[in-house]
Amino acid sequence: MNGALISCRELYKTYGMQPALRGVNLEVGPGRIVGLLGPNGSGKTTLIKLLCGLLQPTTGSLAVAGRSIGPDTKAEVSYLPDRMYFADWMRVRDLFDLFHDFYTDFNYEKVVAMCRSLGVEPQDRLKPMSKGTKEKVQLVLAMARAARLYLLDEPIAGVDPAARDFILRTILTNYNEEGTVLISTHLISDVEKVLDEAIFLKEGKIMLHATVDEIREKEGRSIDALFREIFRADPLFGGEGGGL
Amino acid sequence: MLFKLLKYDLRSMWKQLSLVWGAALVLALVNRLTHSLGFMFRARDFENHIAAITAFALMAVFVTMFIISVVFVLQRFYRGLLGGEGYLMHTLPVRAWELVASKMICAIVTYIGSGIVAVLSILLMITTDWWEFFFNFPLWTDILRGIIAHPDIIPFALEVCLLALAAIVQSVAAFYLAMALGHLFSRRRVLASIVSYIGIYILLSKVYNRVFSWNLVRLLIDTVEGSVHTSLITASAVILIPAVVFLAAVCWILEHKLNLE
Repeated sequence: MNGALISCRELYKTYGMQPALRGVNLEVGPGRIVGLLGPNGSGKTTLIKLLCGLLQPTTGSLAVAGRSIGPDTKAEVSYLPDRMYFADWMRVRDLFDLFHDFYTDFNYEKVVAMCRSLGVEPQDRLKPMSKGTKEKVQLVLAMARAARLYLLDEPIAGVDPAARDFILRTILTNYNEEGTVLISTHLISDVEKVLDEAIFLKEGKIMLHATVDEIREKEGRSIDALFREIFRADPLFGGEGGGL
Repeated sequence: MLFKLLKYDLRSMWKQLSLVWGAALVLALVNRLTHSLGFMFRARDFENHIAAITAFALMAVFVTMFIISVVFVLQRFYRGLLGGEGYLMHTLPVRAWELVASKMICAIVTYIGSGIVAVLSILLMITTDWWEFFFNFPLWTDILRGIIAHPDIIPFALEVCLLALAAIVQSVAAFYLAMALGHLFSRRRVLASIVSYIGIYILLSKVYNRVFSWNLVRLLIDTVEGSVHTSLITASAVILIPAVVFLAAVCWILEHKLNLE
């Protein structure tokens, strides 16, 4: 694919003796919403961390917009981690200022408006906020940038259905349409309707990478149904009778 | 970008330490007022024990300031770059050395700030007529004359400051390296950091400091110029060499072996 935004070649990542990614070859173009789909431990978070420079590959190469991972690519990547990154002393305004100082594509007015819609004011302290509100603040910070690549790691995991709707709506109404959104999740049914492409990751290898339309046409079923079949694991029943 | 990082690190320092520094100064002031009242009402027991109480208070201020500074410096590096906040800091468009340099400068400012507050607290506690002291013009004139008569004292004072600064940088760099090495382990990172620090300490005190002993430093100085200025600058350089090596290792680990999981 020419002009690929994400490009991985024979990418391997191991933690000690434990392989997390095993020979990933991947190209993703601009202007796409891509689902990085796989069960827990399939390597989704590792791939995202490699793309945003939090990890270094064991072997192989990866590039964002044709450049190796470094400060230049970090300036163009908007990352939403699957955990909190706030310091205890911070107020919401401190985070706005930090993003404004470091990212030229950060829209200050937009983030203030987005936070106010959540009932969060810039002078509010982050420490006493609930986990859900903190997650939403992190999401609006990531989406208030006009980035070329959004890396959203499990943005809808562990939240109620109403919050999932809010999160997906926030992503869809705020992302830079010339950029690509890579969403990692195992909650396929919730994101399927918004995806252009799907990448199935299993045990550190890409099982499938195709557009959602191609998959539906070829397989004749939804991404969710295909995911359930590919990643189905038969439960191990205990006891001699093998019953529950 | 370094200045932008510094802005946040210094803001973090101010938000966390300003209360402690303010509290130390207020306590010192209260201590002084209590002493003054004790003298005013000539409380016998109080007068008898005043010297012991003041000495204890002075020591407590120094120890507290030192502990608070060390804990803050360790915590800001560990949480800020190797803990949860690392997910934000390492995805900023900056180099690893800028992150480390910002933390180091903030650590130096923390130590200096705590030192100044400790000295101010002690001055506040000492029951002297400060008004009389500051407006003692003959005393200040004598000091000024002394400086004019011995102009070497200014560079000498600056060199002593440089030596102290080098010692701070070396100790902070050793802490940073120990934490970065501990971070390489997948389990029991705090324990691994403590063991690493002990290893670094032994390496510094038993190997490096023996090789670069005072005699060797003096030998090096004698070959150039036998002045006290050269000796202080050389000593500072000798202290800074391992600090630079430690910091380079920390940057390499953060750039190539970072694993926030």
